Amino acid sequence: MKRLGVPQVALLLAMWMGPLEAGGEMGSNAIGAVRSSEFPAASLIEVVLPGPLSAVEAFASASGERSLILLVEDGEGSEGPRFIYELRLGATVELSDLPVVLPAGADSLAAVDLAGDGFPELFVGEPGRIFRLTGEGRLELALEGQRVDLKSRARLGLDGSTVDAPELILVAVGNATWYTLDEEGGGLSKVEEVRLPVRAEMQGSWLRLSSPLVSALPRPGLHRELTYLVGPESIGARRLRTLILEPGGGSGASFRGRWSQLPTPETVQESQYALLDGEIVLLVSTVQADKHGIFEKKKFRVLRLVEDRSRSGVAPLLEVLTRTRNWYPTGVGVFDVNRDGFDDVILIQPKGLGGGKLVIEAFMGSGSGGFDGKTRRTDLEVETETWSYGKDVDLDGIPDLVLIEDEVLLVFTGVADTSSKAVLHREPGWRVVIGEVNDSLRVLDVLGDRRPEVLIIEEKGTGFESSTSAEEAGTEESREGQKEPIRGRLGLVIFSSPERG
Amino acid sequence: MAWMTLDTAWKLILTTGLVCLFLPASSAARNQKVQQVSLELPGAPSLVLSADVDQDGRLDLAVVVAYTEWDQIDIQEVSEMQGVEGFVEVLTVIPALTDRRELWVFRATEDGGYEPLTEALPLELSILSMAATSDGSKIVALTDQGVSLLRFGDEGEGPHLQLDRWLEEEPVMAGSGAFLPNLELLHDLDGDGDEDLLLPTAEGIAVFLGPLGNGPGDLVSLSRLPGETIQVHGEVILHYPIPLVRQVDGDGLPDLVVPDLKHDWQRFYVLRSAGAGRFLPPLRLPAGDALVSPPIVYFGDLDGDGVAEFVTEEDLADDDAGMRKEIRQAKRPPVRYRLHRSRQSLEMEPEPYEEFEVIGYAFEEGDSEFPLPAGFQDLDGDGRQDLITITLEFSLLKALSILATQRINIGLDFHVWCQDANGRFEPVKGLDLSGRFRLNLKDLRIGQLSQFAGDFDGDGRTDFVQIGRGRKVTIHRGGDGCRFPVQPDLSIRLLEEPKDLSLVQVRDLDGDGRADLMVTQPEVRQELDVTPRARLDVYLSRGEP
Repeated sequence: MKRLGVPQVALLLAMWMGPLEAGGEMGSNAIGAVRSSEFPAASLIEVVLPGPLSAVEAFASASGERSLILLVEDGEGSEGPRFIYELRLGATVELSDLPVVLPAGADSLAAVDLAGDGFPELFVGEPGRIFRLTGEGRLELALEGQRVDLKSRARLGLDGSTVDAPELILVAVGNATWYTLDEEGGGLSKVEEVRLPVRAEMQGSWLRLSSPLVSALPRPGLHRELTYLVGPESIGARRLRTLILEPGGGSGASFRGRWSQLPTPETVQESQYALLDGEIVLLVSTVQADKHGIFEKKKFRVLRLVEDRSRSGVAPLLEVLTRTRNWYPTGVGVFDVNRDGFDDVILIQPKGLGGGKLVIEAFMGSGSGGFDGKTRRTDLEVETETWSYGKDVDLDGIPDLVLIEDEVLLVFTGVADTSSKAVLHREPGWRVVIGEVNDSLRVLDVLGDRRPEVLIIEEKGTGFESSTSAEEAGTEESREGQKEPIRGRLGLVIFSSPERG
Repeated sequence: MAWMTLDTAWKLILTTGLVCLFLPASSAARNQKVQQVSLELPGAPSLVLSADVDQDGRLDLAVVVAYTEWDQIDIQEVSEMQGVEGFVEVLTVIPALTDRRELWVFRATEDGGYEPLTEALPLELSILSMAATSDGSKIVALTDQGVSLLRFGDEGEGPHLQLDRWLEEEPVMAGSGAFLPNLELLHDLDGDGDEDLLLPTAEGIAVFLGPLGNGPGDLVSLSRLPGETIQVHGEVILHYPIPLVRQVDGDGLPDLVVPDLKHDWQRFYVLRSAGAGRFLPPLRLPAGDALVSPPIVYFGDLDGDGVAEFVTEEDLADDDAGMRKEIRQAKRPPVRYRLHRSRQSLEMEPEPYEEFEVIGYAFEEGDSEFPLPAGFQDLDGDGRQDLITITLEFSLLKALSILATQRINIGLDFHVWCQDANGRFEPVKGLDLSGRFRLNLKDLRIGQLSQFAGDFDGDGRTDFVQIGRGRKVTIHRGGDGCRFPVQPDLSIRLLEEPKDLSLVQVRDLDGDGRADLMVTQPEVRQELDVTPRARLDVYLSRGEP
């Protein structure tokens, strides 16, 4: 069927002119088998799952045992049954199938410490319902509602995982609701509900209604207290509105508008809230709004959120033309690189038409959110769009950069020398061969030892092949013409030494 | 300044000069003439409705305008001041950007023009949509609380417009502050000749029977439509189906048809009418799990018997062609259509009753923001649907430049296949309906492309409007066999060339049975974030059909 209009034709033509994506090849492997590979100062645990991997959560049981909980679909189709697996990370690493009958629509997991006892409660969601998985392995209905969706829970912290959340916050179109654990029944009790902005538009025969997700940032010095933010919403071509939750003191909480102003008409492509010298700021990458530059480089802005009664906002604290073309992602971090007591902003920029280089540039803060024009910079000769910056892998107090290039996970550690002009060491501190990865990585402390691990998540594939499994994967001829089942894959990289590898 | 006064608005009627343009281009159109009126507005109109607001028997124009302008916020505070005993009242004046939404009503005058009826009615953000009944007797407003009716009053404080609340039922998009101009919520669902209301609520589609505004509002059915989905992709997204109202089962009553969000017309649902505004449970078509191949692109009554037919579309393009041929095929795609009748159960008969090949695009994607002036339409007034397709003419360089400018100057040619009494589609030869058109890809949602949108002479056949040639617009009267003469029957010279094609609309504005032309002309933006003023040029068809 023809699905082509003028813009689609143009895009097609542009695609013809672009580089072809290199084809990947996946091998099969023993389903459920846990394999461990050793690398200098690191080990890799890999497991192939019988179907697509829908969700992963790090979990700690009351006995202190650490594990990963995996929600897996049936490999034969998206409407088949779902299963929960637990990858136990004790003295021996083993994968077990939890004997729980999941609802057919189960599509999400959440491990949240709602009781505040240091151990998370585990929830399983399907559209319209949320279940709590009890310690006895039972699934109990915790919340039901026409448009309840566990996938809509608030984004916490810079990378979505760093903040200890006292509540479960779910967003529906038009409202955000705070839930705590019901002390009696173990279900979820509503604490607070606030209205969210709703965007409505017609799309063919469909009414599309949407509300932004809620982000949360820790309040400095306050344990388990968060600032909740919604946005940014573009109001016109230059103004951005952020809503910050104002406690209502018994009369119900509400959001209050804060305004930011872009220097020129721009469209926000990526956004993130962060604390800069104790003040919440908005970090955005943008492209020009009135026309599209085919080879345009992204702009980066650090924006204040002001309660501006004129609603026009104030100019950015920092304006940067990045080295990154508009089709590549950028990354950000906030850290006091030169230890002068003022936060600096670190910008991660893929460089070049085809990538091939990653520029990590720090813009030196001068206090109160200002910048003194000085920068520090490290150029890495790597080709990647998958990275995570900000976690301290070598435990020296300096943020490190974890990235995947081809089939290798690399960790570039932060430079501790405050007088250095570099942000990162140019030689990787760790190098782990992980095989081909198409999806994502997450850096978080799974084992609870304060040193982060790396989760490599392949939601859908046909298995995996790493350096050690390539021979087992069968020949290309034997796989040709065969329809491979869809399998998820999980990799866990555990760093064992602070020494550079 | 809050809003404009009547006096100011009067002055702003730019060329209220009612210009009669007699430009007959052929003897067939000797009695055709056009009356032109320009209306000044504080921004481009979001919606233009024809309705008899002042109840004088003539259809007026009700125009919804949304715009942003600089205003001021006055904040009165009481505070202590050094050297002043006691408290001091301080008035702080802060300039602020203010979003406004207003309803402007222009009364139809005896001489065929328009004049402001009264001051513009400020519309709160709680007004979500507006629509006029087909006879123009009422304008209804969908609000956060339910439905209100527009009333023009002349009592008390003088002539004024107001919205009287009629129905309390919160729509699903309440609180969005969005104005959705073309929701198409008014239909005669029970066949009694009165329009009824289809109201999307969180619990489902609610039906309130007409006459609208009489009594408290009679909820007769609430149907949960299939296919509603929630997605989380950086935001929480609810896709809520708005059904198409079509007669598909031949019982003379309109049914509800809901295309699938993922599969468009390859899988859809029908809620057959049970009479009196009620509907049977959804019926999924095709019933099997497997999708029909080639895919279904249309389900509707083609031959005028009230029973819907299925149309499948097979792409005949050569997938292994070289780049040059692929571009040629992208401009002039070869396609084969197969027409299948419905069984009584509405399932598709496996064997087609008609099959034909065409060149060009006819159907856009279900959620497309780029509505094509193509597809099935009864062009010659015989009650049977005919087919319009479009072929494109553009260069590779131009196509790439779209990405940069979001505007394109593109050649479009229209092709017509006329359906005969036997249900056969035959190509109409000898047409010259091509033109070059400037499209603003960002603003295509504003309006429809209007080449086959009106009957300018009131003879029941669709006329072709040639609007891709600068200031000159030509009308080609539709004839038997879906023919359109190469030579125009009427030429209109516009005050100004349309800035892009989506700013042109063709509709019968004055209810005389003849289509009229409406062109929005936004002024140059002077300041970022402040909406430029706009002029609405209306060209009314006059004369005998």
